[in-house]
Amino acid sequence: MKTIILSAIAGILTLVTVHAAEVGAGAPMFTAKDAKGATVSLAELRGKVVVLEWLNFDCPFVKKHYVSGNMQKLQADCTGKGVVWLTISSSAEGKEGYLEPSKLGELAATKGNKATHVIADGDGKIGKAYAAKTTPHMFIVDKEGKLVYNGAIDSKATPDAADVATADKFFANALDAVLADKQVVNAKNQPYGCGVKY
Amino acid sequence: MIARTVMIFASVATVSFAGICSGKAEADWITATKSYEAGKPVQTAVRLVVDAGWHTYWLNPGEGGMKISAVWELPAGWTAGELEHPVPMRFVTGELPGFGYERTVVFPVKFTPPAGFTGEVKLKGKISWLTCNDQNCVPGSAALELSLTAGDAAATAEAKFIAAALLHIPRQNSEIILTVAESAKTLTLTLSHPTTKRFDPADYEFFPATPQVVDAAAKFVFTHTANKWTAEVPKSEYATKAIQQLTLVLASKAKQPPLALTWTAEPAKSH
Repeated sequence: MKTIILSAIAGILTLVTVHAAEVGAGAPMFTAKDAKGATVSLAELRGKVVVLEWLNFDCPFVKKHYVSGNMQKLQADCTGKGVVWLTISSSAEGKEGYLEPSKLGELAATKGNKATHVIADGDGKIGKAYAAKTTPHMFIVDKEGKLVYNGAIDSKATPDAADVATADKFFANALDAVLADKQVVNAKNQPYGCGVKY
Repeated sequence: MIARTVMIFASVATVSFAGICSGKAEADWITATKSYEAGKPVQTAVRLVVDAGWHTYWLNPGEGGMKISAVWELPAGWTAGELEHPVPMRFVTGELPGFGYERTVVFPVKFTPPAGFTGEVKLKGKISWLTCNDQNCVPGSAALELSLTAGDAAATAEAKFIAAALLHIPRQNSEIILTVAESAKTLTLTLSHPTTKRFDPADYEFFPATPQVVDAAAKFVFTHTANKWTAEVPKSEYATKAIQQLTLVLASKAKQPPLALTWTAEPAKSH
């Protein structure tokens, strides 16, 4: 009886952990429908490197990386290497950046988004599980399902597209390391951008 | 478009509050003197008037946000001082804790001409900032200009705004000694002070000026023990390396000047 109570308490503690997605630990699992209605299950992607990109097309920091073509190029490069790229919007209905799933998918297509799946996370469940804070905010899950990167796309926390070329490429370098089976050196850093509109 | 805006601005530069509107704020560049003396600093300030309901950010913006930045284009030999940030306020944007300003904020900055410099000069500055509210973030920028002539450095009408703004700039204090002890998830802050002078942290609001050291949502609660005040605060989750430096800003609740206290780690001993 005691054990049951303790494990119940432990279960509650896990649910309310502030830093839900710890680098080095198992990535929070989720199953969701993408913008085209296909089911995406992180557990079923075991064996593949998965990138999670938090998105809000109305955020100037997201615009920076789409206007410059940086995000689409990263998406094309990564998916070309067998990486599964999930572009996720956790904007709640009525908040900035919210679109119903099919409209979000259409807008992403017009912006040249090359993600494997675009996911409308309107109830914020995936965003909260990862403690996604800003748009953009980048995560990498390795082939074993472990979270190996949680941070910024690059080093220059500005909305200026001209800064993309001269920034330290935190996320791209991390992904290169993961694909080369090397340790990520800057696995946790502060993301920059607009707050996720939960 | 920017060039055109600058021309319009330049033509009305003598009128106060004739700023450039961009993002959700209006920016202008004011000076305490319209003339300069060679070799002596000229006190100027960038003034930002943020639209009601919006805020802009401190040098430690907290989570999300962006501090104001300035890129100066100066005549040969002129040097720019730091863009000084007044004491901020706390806010939460959506769910992100941050530090910054609402409505009018004045950032003092000094420029020094070289010895022997003469003639009329035009200083240029590209200012970039971010304004946010709970719903949106909108960046702003302005190409500002300031014309100065050689002269007796007589005060302008704006000098009083700048003088008032300078009272809100934290000044380094060497009487109160800050030390920081780091553990896995927390920092223990210790303030020691001369026994001859009264010091009570309860008279101040504390802000972490160094980004990514103290958790942006931290509350600073000090307790008194034998001539020292100590507080335990949560460490920033982004402080992944040993902490090297921390500056705290202490904003007086009783209209005393704001203070800055800085701790620097002892350099690692080499063998």
